[in-house]
Amino acid sequence: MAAAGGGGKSFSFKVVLLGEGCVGKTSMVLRYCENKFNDKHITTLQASFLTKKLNITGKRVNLAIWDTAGQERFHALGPIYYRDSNGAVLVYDITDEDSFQKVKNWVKELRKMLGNDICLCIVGNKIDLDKDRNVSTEEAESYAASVGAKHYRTSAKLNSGIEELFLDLCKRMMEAAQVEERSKGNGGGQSASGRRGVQIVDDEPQAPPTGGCCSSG
Amino acid sequence: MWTDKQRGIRLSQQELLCKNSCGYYGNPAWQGFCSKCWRERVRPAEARRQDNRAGADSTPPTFSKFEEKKNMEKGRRINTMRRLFWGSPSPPKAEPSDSQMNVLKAFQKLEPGDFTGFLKTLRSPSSQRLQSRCTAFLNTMEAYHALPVQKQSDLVQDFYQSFADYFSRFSEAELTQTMEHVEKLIMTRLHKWVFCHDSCDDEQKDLILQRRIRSLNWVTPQMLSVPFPDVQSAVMGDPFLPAITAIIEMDAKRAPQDKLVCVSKCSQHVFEALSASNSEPANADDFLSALVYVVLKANPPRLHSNMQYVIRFGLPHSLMAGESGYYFTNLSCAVAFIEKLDGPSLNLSPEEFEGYMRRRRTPAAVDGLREVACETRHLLDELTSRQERLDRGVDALNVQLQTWVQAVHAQIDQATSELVLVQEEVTDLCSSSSSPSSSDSAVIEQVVLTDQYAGPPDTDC
Repeated sequence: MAAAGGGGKSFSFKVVLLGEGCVGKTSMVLRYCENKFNDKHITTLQASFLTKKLNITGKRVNLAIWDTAGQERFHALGPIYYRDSNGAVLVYDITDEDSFQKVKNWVKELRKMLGNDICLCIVGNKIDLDKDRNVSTEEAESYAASVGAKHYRTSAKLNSGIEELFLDLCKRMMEAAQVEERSKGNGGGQSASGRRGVQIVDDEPQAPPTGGCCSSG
Repeated sequence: MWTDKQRGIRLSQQELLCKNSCGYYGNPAWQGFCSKCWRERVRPAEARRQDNRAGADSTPPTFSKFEEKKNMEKGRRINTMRRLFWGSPSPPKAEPSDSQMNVLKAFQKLEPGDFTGFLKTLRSPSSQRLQSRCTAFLNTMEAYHALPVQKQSDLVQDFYQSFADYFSRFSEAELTQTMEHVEKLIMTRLHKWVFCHDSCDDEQKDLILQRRIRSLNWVTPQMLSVPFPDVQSAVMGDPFLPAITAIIEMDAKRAPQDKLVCVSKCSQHVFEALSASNSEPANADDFLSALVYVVLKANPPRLHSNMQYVIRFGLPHSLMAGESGYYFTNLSCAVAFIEKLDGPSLNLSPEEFEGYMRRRRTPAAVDGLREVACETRHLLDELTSRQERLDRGVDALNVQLQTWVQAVHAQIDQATSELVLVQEEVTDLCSSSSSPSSSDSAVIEQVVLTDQYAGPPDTDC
């Protein structure tokens, strides 16, 4: 759903988490939403759909984080997941060159399907394992810049960089939503327009159809 | 020559004229009246009908009523079509009046999930305008049930939109809640008209999907790498059974949101089953694999139609955002995965996959049967052993019971013999003209003795 950000109402954003199997997507989002890592006391049954409420510069933001199945056999299902999302967090493992290649594929696909409407974050996770690094920061950063994404370095284990990543992403999505709203002129009443192919806009107020639409021959 | 006459429909001039005999021609669409007479006839009927509706909104009208309505509304089609497509049935965007504010407040006061309360509020005189809008919309939709389903979907979504505009002063949560009620009200009524509609190939696709799922009945959880308990006890059964039941239940619900609730319930059960075999919270990969397994096992009836129905007529909010939206997306993914399933995605070579697919067609049915038979035999074995244990228990209990009865008999015998002794003693004492006090003590003794053996010895069994 597009950001329903009219007036004093709050923003709702959908963010998809993309990345290969073992890059630490789940750990990252659990760390962010529950501040837990490999904890025995994690009470949540699942880490695939999590929400977070934020307050950014006085505006309320509801963040829904959608984990996506990252295994190769589920690759073709991507478009079903990231449809209508406002942001995407693409995670790779800095010790795993392949996972970075996967991120590149995702970026291509996302740009192709959603254009520039989506805020992209490329995240190098597991920076605590810097000694085994296989993807250089410079390379990743220059790539991110070349595709209009932002690059972040995080560690779910040490809880570093994750809070900043999501905060920054939210701010960018808010900006994008406000720009979109302004370009539309009137941001109100768009909640249903997300998937409707044809939207009929009536420019003259109609009489209420009470009896009206049923009495003419 | 005469065969021609028979074939053609012959109507006399008289029959073509308006039934009101006003001189104009009548039209079968207006039940033989001319347009003017028809309009005059229909108007009071319309008003009456709306009154009836207010009283018995939830009771579905009978078929004859529908027929009547269909006929009546055919004539109005063109005009209403124009109205529907060139102007939306949205209310005039006037400043909310006092009465309107009162209506809004009444709706705001409702508890979440209180659908009955919502209906009551809707039927109260103050919100009559809202109600008549609902009724009018429902009538129109029923009259146009032959429209292509996509158009119907657009109409319903526009209706939601216009309703949402009416309640635009509500907070987001209140709006969502009210809109859910509206959806339930509208779609419960429209379900039979628009579900699995003739204008689309939903039914065929349902069959294709069903056949596809059935042809994949050999897929095991291991192939899908679903975390599954290794030791499967025959009696415990499938840990995903609650999820399977929930997804099958979806077809029985009418309102899109109720169907979504089934999907959510199914997903919750999947997570519970996963948590039993995995200490960490389930991630999307585990969840999707398990959901694919559940769908394959359940083969939910009319799955494609149900999903299309939710997409077309559900509230966009609940479908796009929120937890139920996520689960529904995953269900879509699972179906897409099943449709495109091939060897590599099950860690099988294409040849193996083909083999499985082909084998099931002729001898593989036996394979499935054998599996079922094996399972059943296990169950039977377990049941037999249980039965034996039970029999043994019964025997032991019987023996215990008999010994107890014997013991009781022995005790009674003993007590009677003692009683006889005591009685003899008493009569002896009496006959030898004893003092009353000693006889008293003897009686007391007797009572004590009988008391001792009165209760059955419960501890024995």
